Amino acid sequence: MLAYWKMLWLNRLAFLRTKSWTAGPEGQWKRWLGYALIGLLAAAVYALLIALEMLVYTAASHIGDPGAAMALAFFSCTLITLIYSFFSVTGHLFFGKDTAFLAALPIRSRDVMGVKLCNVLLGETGLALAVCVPLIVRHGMATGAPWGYYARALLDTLVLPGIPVALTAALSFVLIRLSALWKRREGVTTIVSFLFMALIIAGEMALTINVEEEEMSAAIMGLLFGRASISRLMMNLYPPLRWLMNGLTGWGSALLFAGVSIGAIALVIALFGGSYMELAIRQAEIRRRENAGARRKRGELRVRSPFWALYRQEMKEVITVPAYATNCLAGAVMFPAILIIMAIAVKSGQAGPALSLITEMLDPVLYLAIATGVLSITCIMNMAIPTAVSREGARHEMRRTYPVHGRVQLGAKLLMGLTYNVVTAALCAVVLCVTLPAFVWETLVALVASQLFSLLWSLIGLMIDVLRPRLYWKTETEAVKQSVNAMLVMLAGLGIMLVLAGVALLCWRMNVPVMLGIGADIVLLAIGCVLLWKWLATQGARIYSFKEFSNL
Amino acid sequence: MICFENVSKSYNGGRVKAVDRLSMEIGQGKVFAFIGPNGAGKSTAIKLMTGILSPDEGRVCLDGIDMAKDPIAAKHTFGFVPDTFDMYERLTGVEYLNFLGDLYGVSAPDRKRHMEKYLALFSLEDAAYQQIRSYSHGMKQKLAITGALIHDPSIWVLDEPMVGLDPQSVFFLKEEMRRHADAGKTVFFSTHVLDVAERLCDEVGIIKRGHLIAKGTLEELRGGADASLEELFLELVEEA
Repeated sequence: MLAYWKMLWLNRLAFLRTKSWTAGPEGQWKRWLGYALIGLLAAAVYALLIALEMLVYTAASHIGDPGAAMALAFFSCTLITLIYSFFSVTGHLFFGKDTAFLAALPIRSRDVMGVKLCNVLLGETGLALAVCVPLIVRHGMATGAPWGYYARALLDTLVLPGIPVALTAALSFVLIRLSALWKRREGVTTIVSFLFMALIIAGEMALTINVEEEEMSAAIMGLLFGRASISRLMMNLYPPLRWLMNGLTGWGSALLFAGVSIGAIALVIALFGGSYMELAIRQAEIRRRENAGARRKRGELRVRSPFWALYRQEMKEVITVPAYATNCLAGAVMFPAILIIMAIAVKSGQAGPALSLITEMLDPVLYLAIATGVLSITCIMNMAIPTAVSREGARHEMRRTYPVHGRVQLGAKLLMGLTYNVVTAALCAVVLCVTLPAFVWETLVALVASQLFSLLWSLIGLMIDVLRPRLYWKTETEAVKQSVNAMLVMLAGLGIMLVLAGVALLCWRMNVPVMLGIGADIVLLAIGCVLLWKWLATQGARIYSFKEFSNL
Repeated sequence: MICFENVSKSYNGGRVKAVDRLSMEIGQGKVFAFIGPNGAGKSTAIKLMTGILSPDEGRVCLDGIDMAKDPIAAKHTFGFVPDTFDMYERLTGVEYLNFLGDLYGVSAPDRKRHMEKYLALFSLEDAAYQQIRSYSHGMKQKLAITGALIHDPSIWVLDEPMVGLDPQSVFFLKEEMRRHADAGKTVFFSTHVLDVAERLCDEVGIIKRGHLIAKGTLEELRGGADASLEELFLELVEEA
């Protein structure tokens, strides 16, 4: 078991071995520089996060509930782990390509599952530590807490992802068991994954919306009059949080939370571990059965241009590979799901008066700006574009032999990303139109304007992936998960949003009409798009077609 | 016609010379076997020829078209069978062949004719409607061979084509390679199976540590002696 774990980690850390870099000294120097820049960027983002946490802590202290900031951090980490670990747990357990290899080794099924889950847990624990440690230290310093506080807080942060990961592991087993009933297992897995995700979001939002009115009122009153009960609100949303928060002051609760978290993982491994390998192998060996009923479809072969053939292939690949669909199209499910749930809540009367007030008071131009921003942001979770070249993996060599210009190949990738973006934004726009019928035209204009942002964002994503693709991967999950490119593009998207909002704000502060601010934004976006496409069509296409990547 | 003119390629910032000043010409109507020990530079030479890699110096011309100057036109001239089949595994065989037909601009009747011919030849007619990931290694290899011929290329490049094929398919493949060359086209393949090379090819090229150490017909290489290709190969590789 330990040997397997060691091998997984050696494989993961292999990129750090500078001797394995095939480029010359100059290439190594560039690579170090790249890592340094990415490190700096990550540090800057982390510094921003810490600053935000400190602001929240100060605000919470002012209302007499400093623990609220910590409760919020613990709760957010749990929620993020619950949503994101579902895909990584399912991918690691059932869509890895090492299943057949492992089945032939003398390792127990339970051990394999344990190691795989521990690997996921370690990643999630890193995130929890990064988010929670600054607040733990701040709170400890503010209250002059003894060392025991730090030890307990650290222990509980380390085991924080245990419960959500155990939950998602159990869900993924149910999912694979369910999908085994159908012949088109992968399609069912993708669809059910999305349903699970929508359910988690819906459940969480419903919980927030339906929190006891008294509690919500108490929390709001507390915020207004300086006596808050936000911590209690959080604890009621997620009961184990009570043990965690109480654990900051006493060992009993701290050990209880740690025990429950570790116990949850142990229980899942004990319950499902024995049958894990059998299920994973069945999942990997579906191909022949899936194809057994494949009928010969005789008919005319449809002739397409190289561009449309490539575009069709790119579109199909994202939908048909579960790891790609669940990672690339998460936003396409998440954003419309959130809007639909909000719309249902609004329509069911809980926010009716507020809605009427918004409809009456809101300036259509201001609504246009807000709707454009909302619809624009729906694209930044589409990982299909920033991984479009990386996903080719070993196929990249073969694609270089195709008699098709790099510009055409990149164009097909770009259009694929834009198609998914426009579908997501259009779904959201429909929900907005239904919820706010007074602003239908503004919503439609916002939909069109948002696609300009989507184009610029997609161009940036493609540019980054052309410049530094990750072509050496063994599983499809690796190609899209934990991609530095994806992180960079998300940051770039947020950066562009800030710039555009800044320009609009500047116009507003200078008493320039909002419409002019929006116009300035559109001009900026258009210039960015033209410049980036020019680069991609020339330099980018050359790099895509001819540059030798060290990991090729 | 395939033409390498003083082509060099190195890795690791120039520390490892994979191909060193390689010059050779392979005419039309010939089956050319490219042989050499492991790591000799065969695959790098093939990658340079197919546009996957760019040479550090020198040039590669296919049917008179310089790969560096007009890569798209040069890539239209050949069909390539790689040593490993990393393709779109969720496509069916027919979808994959149709995809290639679109990329090479093959008309519907032509691609249908080619598909029917080669799918029947390799007994892939039924499997062609199943997803590629359900194929065995040999079936994938057969599909790659069919795909490489979809546009009836004037140059056919194969990297270790016999690996994983059943004896019947090896026979058909050899027949097809011969037929291709007899039709005035060029077949270039790398192999470690010297018996096949000896019986099939018109010319042989032997590469070692990036240098072409011998090239010519078997008779030319033998120089009047009565030696098998295996004996010749071992002797030449030892000497170089």
